[in-house]
Amino acid sequence: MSISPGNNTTDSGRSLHKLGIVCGLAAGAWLGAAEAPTKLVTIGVSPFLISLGMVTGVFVARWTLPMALKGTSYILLDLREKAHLVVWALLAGMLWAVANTLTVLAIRDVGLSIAFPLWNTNSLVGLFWGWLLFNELRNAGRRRWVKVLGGATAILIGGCLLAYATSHQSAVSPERASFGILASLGAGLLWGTMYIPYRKAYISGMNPLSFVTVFTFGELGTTLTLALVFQGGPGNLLHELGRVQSVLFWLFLGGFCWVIGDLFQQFAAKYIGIGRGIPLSNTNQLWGLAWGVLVFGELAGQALSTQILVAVGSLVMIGGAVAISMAEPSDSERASWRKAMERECSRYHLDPVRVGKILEGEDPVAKEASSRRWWELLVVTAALGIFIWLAAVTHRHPIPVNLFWIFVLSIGTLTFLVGSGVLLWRQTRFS
Amino acid sequence: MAYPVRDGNHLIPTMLKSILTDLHFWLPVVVLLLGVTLLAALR
Repeated sequence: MSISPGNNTTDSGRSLHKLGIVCGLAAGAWLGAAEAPTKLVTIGVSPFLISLGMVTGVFVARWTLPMALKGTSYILLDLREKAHLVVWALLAGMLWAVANTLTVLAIRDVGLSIAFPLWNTNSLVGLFWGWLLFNELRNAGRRRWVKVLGGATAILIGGCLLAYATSHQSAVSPERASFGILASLGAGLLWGTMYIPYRKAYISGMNPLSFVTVFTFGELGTTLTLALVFQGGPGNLLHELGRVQSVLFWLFLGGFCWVIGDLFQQFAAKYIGIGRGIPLSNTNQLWGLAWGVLVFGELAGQALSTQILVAVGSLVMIGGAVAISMAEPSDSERASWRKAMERECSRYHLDPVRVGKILEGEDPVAKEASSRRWWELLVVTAALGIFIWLAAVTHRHPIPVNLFWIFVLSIGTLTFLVGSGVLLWRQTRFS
Repeated sequence: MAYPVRDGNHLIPTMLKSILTDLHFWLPVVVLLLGVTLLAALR
């Protein structure tokens, strides 16, 4: 039976679409929250050290969370089954690290207001790759195209308005401007292309938790290499790390929040694809703004025009997210997704029935994995110990914060964590 | 159909196959090289 564009979605498809949308929004909340702890780090710390500090925190969390949720036996079995994807995960981690370093240079040269919207084009790049390589939005019908492309563009435009309104950068060095724009666009291209390995892994049936466990090696290895190059060798790097030890906790905490957001982004990429999932997680800018404005009072004393720009930018961004949320893939589009999955199965000798079940939220690997090991508890304890030790030696710089809004935003962010976590558990057992 | 759990000894050939035969793989590789080149030029 042929399926025409615009056919109704099945109950199962609708349910997974909702799950993916909730995961995308939760990703935005947690990726935005990750910015808050780093605001407590004083100016004067090298951006490369900030990046390395966060990525080290990310590394600790990325090992611990997947192991705590699924166990090492599960992760190893999943990786062995799809061993060809190990190299893809490493490649994705390397792409992330180079893109992240480019953003450091971009902010240095043109400021955040110009750099942020330019690298946020990553969602459009991801949408293009999703369409070209993974059949996303194929046979989707005009209305869904308008919703997804229009929604992604609205999120980008909203981001431009927010970045412009919140910019404190008054002058951009003319001679560095072209370098900064190139660096921003390069970061957008790299991050957008990073979603190719993501989607590749998920239409091959890999669990996002397994993927990030390998991804983090590419990420940390490349970030460390770049920090060594930019900081003048291991001696200088160690000296600088010792100097910033007192603020490492905040960077680790930011990294931890970032890992949670990234995990939700990965599940969104799995269940609704990169064309829909990535623009939704790019709403992190809205959450970052909320933390900055409400908790740290970053817009205090700003002109009315600035506040109007912030309100309009936020509304445009929310409108874009709503449009994408309403663009449920039809059965005909899902059939196109399935063709992409079958192509991967054919190329890498995977079982399409089994992979199809995994894409519907089932978890056959869990039935085959052996029980938990005692040393998993040891690793979780060690990770917690690292955080506690860093918290003990840290000190918070005297930056005024609004405790009421910290409470409100924390509750909102935790609600996303619990709500999305429960949904993921009920529907997929974190598959 | 039973899913073929891969033998650890086949890990390297499987990866090599992925690199050499999958055109999709080279897109991120080329973009990564572009990014590294850009980084070296701008630092």
